[in-house]
Parts: sequence; structure tokens; C-alpha cells
Amino acid sequence: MEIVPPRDYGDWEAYAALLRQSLGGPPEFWPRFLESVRSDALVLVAVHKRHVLSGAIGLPMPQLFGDQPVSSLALSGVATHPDVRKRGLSTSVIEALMEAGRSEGVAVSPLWPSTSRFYRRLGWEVAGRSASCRVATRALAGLSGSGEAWRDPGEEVREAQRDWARRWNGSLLRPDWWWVARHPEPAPDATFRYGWFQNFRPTGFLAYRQEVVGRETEIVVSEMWGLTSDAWRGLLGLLGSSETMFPTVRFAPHVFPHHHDLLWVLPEQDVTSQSGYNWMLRLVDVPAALEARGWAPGATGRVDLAIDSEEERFVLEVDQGRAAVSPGGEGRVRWGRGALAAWYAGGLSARRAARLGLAAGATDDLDVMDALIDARPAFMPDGF
Amino acid sequence: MNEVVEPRHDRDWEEYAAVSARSFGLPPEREGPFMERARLRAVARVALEDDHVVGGGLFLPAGQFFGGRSVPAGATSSFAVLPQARGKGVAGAICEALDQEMRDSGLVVSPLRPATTRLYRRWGWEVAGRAARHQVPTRSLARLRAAGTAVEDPGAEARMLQRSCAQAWNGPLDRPDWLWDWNRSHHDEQAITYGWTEDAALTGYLSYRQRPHSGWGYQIVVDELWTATPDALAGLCRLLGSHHSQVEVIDFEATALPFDHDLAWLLDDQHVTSTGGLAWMLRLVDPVAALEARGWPETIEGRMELEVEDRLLGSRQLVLEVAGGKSQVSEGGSGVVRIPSGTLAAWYAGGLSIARAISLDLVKATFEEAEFLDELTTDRPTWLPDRF
Repeated sequence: MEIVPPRDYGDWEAYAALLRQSLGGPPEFWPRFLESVRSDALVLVAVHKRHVLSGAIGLPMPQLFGDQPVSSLALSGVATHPDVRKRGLSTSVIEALMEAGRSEGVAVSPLWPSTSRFYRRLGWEVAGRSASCRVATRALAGLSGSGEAWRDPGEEVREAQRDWARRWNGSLLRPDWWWVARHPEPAPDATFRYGWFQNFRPTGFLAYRQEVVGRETEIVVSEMWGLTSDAWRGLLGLLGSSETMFPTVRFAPHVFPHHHDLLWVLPEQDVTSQSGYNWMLRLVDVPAALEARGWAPGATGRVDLAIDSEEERFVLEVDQGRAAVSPGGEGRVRWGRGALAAWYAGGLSARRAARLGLAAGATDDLDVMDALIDARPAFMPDGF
Repeated sequence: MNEVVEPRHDRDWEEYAAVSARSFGLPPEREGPFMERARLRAVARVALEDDHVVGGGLFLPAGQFFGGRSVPAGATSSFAVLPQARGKGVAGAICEALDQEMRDSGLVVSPLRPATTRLYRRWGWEVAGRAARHQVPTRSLARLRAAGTAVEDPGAEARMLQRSCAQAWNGPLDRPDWLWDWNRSHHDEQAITYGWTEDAALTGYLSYRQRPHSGWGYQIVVDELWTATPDALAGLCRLLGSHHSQVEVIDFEATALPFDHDLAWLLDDQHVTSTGGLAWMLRLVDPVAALEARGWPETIEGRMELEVEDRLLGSRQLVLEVAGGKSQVSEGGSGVVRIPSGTLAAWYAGGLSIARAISLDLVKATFEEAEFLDELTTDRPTWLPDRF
């Protein structure tokens, strides 16, 4: 068995089949997805003779933390053939992928896990949550905003999305291939995209599909964001205009953060949310990740960190929003590697980590760490 | 409607109980005892029409923790109007009467769990936090390990532990003793309570009910779970997990775990399903006194000029000055941040940042002003773990 990039068309085809078998999806989805990312992604498969037994995809995309881009490899498409599971194949493929990423300067790796237990063992930790929300369409019908909706907007919405992404800790700076992979042209059947424009400037975006199963109909929103209150209200109103045919609108898990805004936008509490959708983060290169992140405005402080039972010690010094990391120090705050990633993302405060037994240190040191993290909520609004 | 008064005699209370039962779809035999207890503790106002009660509301005096300090609060509850009297301003008149009564009594904030946000928003409440019910497969709790011992019925010491833990949040009530009994009185089932001890010190408290259901085994509903250490949390969850042979899923009420619960980090896999997302709301009944009564981060110092708009109190310009964990509020200033009293309440509770409120058009302020204001209230998470 060896771990290599797909060697030929046969390997790509076999990996696409393995992805469908392991993760589901319509027959055309995985071949199309692999085709759209193959020239940019880092893909490794475990092969034995002509058989693809396991595989994973690393999608290089900068990830924003503290309004600074951090070199990131988003992990996706982890799949192993059922016959050979529980033999460490996925672990080997993932570690090879991370090592390859590290050698190219990757500092962090996010993922949407199907199981947190497995990824936790490899150093990932729950960094943030999102919710799937369901709203009665009629509750949106009365909303409106200044501006207008344009069907199938062009590439100008990508720049506006980057502005919106800066509001969060964890959003990806989407390269053009991401848009091609996630919003292919032409749009699949019953899928619609709208931009919201104010004074010819794009301020919002909405992508949804209409689902009809028997007599049940529903609108499923796969992406929605707005730079202005008018964009939010306008796009929600646009969804509300389908109230006669589609009684409910469901927002997919990565559309809204756990603490979504709908409670303040809607006149009544007509939204039901179901959470339990977590995203995880791993610090692939701890010093590089710490130095690349942005910190709270004006934050200054020094922390002596020990990671994974004193295995590694670092001194983190932040001055006016920039960090320097040096090896050594007293190891005054002890962290598991995964929990440190959750703190880094702004999803788990140092105080809370200590309360959960995931970090240990003097209260003053924990408070210094929490003062360093900026106020942006931890949210990854990107599916991959 | 003729007038809004304090319930005058037994008949007013009985009629109020009937209005409340009808409005909330409860059997009258359940609402009657509730009102009997309310008479002893609550301040109520009822609306009369032809000398009969057509609506009513009450508040329970207690404290509410914000920034680590107990702020005098009137927890609003049992707001009800008969169907034939709705849409005639009855609820508004009751609201106004209770609001004045709270201010006269020195109660400066008012939390509530709304059946409708639209009505309360009009009277100055705003969504301050959320609540969700969480479900966890019992077996996934059984795998947890912890140092310490479970003890049955930990007694009054549990109340001290709860009070100490509650101060780490923005929003829990500073419960008087009677409110403990009040909370339990909402359920028909007997509460089972456990403490967790480590080195002879109580570090955790758990209260749950066993509820029969039609299928195999029974149901467990957790009402309270307060823990001061990781072992207490894991230990008491493991105790719940020990029921796995009879109970498939543990239900945590919104009073037992916050919306942002810790189980995502405690359990080895993502086995928690949270549903709901319903709101609790807050009103600053006396904004000046509320701002001065709250605790603030010790390390932050600064000043902000606000213009607070309130339907009942009118528009006021205030200067908020914070230093050393305390604040002073004076009339005046230029009102550079224009904020409705509801948005001010949601920010006060830590549930809505000013930066977010700007993007939702709920306040007029710059992001620079938001940065200072948001540092003041986001040091603790927001949660209302009390029933009333």
C-alpha cells in the first residue's frame, strides 16, 4: 500500500466512486467536485495495486482569524473503503496530507466532521458551531429592504463576500475555484441565485433550491449573507415571496452561526433552530498559526504555553495586535493541542477550557489569553 | 376596559387564574394553585371590565446577575388577556402599571420568557438571550469518568454552590429561597437531586425528574445542572448515563444547560441535538439605576454619551462612565450613540453586541464606539436558567 496523489484517470474515478459510497450525494456530484478542484487541491489516496482504498482532499484557502489571513488547508473528502476501515488508513492519508501542507507553509486546518471522536485524536477540536434553522415562509413575507435583487449576479459578489467574511473568526477567503465548485454554471435544476444591489453595489447574496418530495415542498438555502441590514431584509423578503407554494424555508447548517440574527430581524420568534453542527480546527504549525493571526485591537500580553503534556513549550508575546512566538518558557498554561485550536478560533475561552479540564493555569494567565482574542464570533460560513 | 388595579380580593385572583389558564391552555386546576403561591410573593395587576378581570400580569421580585453583581429585578410572568378583550390596549395598560410599580419598588430590570416578542418589544423589552432543549443519548454519558462522589439530596449547600456558579453568567436570577420551591412547583413529578463532592467539598448539583412514557423504560428530564469543576460535570453526567439500560435519551431543559452548552467539548462525539432557539427578553425599567447596579470588567475604563429612546420614559441623554468595575451615569452629554431602550437592554445582558446591532439597524453608532461598548458586556456568556 502506498499514499500518493491520484496517478491517472482511473484513480480519480475510483476515488469519486469511493466518496459517493462513503459520503453519499447524487452520482454527478463528486466527479464534478473533483474536476473543479483538482488543479488547486492537494489530494492523496491510499492505493494497493489498482485499487483506491482511502483518500482525502486538502483545499488550500486562507482562513481569517482576527481579520488576518492564515495559511490553511481545509480537509474534505475523507473516505475509506468499508472493507479496510479501522486499519489506520484514513489517519495515514490525513497525516501525509498535513505534512505536505506544513512543508508548504500551512498553519491551520479546518473541517466539518462527520465524527468528532476520530478527528479529536488527530489534534482537531470543536472550534465553532452553526445551526440549521427553519422558518415559516409567511414570517419572511413582510420584510423588505432598500435596493433590488438581481438574478444570477456576476463575479462582483465575490469581493463583497470577502468584506462580509472579515466579520468572523474562521471564514475562508474563497478563491475563484471555490465559487466554481460550490456554485457551478449552469445552475442545477430548481436552484436559484440572487445578488442584492444598492446603488449598483453588491451588498448581499442568496443561493437556494426548491425541494419537492411528494406533496411536501420546501426552500433550502445553501448560502446567504448581507453587508447591510437592507440586504438581509430584502433577501429574506424575497424568500418570503414564495409563501404560497413553499410553506417553510430551511437554512443549511453553515449558512448561519449558532447565534443567528433572525431573532432580531423577525417580528416574532418564528424560527426553530437545530444545532449540533460543529466545525473543527487543528493547528498544523502552532508558532506559524499564532504569528499569523490578528489579535484584539491594542492587545498586549505574554503567555508561557505548554502543549500536549509539556511536549512543546512556547512563549507567546503579543504587542499592539501582532504576535511573536519563541520556543521555551515556563509552560505556565497547559493546553491540549486541540483545545488550543478552539481557543485560537475564538470558540472556547481559556477560562471555559480550564473549567472543562481542557487547559490548566493561573487565572491571571487565562485572563491574559482571553483578552488577546478579538471579539469576532467563531463561524465558518463555507461549505466544502 | 375600565381600570387596572391590584387584585382586590379572592375573586379577582380566581378570575385572573382563570384568564391565565385559558390564555396558556392549562387546566384551571393547575393554574389555581399557581396563583395561590403567586399571591404570597408576586406583585400583580389586573385589568377590569364591568368589575370582572379580563387580563392580568405579575412580577416576582428577585435579583438578576449581570457582570457578577445582583441587580434588583422584577421577573415578569403570567401575562394574559381574555380573547374578547385582546387588541384593545389591555396588555399595554397592564404593562405600564407593572413598569411603574417596579420602578417605585426599586426594581430596575425585568426579564421575561415571551409567548410573543412583538408585543413586548413595543413596551421596551428586547431579545437578550436564547434557550434550547438539548437531547443526549444516555449511553454516550455513561462513558465519562470523573474523580469524586455522588451524594443524594445535597441540601441547602447546593443553593450556595448554585449562587456562586450563577455569577459567572449574565442573566441568572439571584434566587431567594422561596424561588427554589417555586421552580419545583412547576412539575408534577418528584425532583431527584444529587450533589457531587470532591475532597468533602460540594462541587456540583443535579436535579432531574423521572417521567413515565408509553414505550419501554422511562424518560429523564434534567432541570438543573450546576458544576464548579470538570470532574463534577463529568461525574454528574455519568450518573445520568448510568440509567442507560432504561432510558434511551436524556432531556436537558433550557434551565439545565445554556444555549451554548459545554457538551460539545465534554463528549467524545457530536451526540447532542439542540432544538429551540426561543428567546428570553429583558427591559431596563430604570436605565440609569440598571447601568449603575451592574458589574463591569475591572480593567476597562471609559466614557460614552448615549441617547436612550423609550416609549414609556421618553428620550433621555445619558453619560455612562466606567472605571474599576463600577459605573456612574449622569444626565446630559450629546447623545452620540442613539439607542432604543430595548437594544440597550439586549446589549446590557451581553446578548447583542453593538457592532451587530449596527449591522441590523438597531442602533445609531460607529464601529469605534461599538468596540468600547462591546468590551464592557461580553466578558460573560448570557443565560437565564430560571423558570418563573
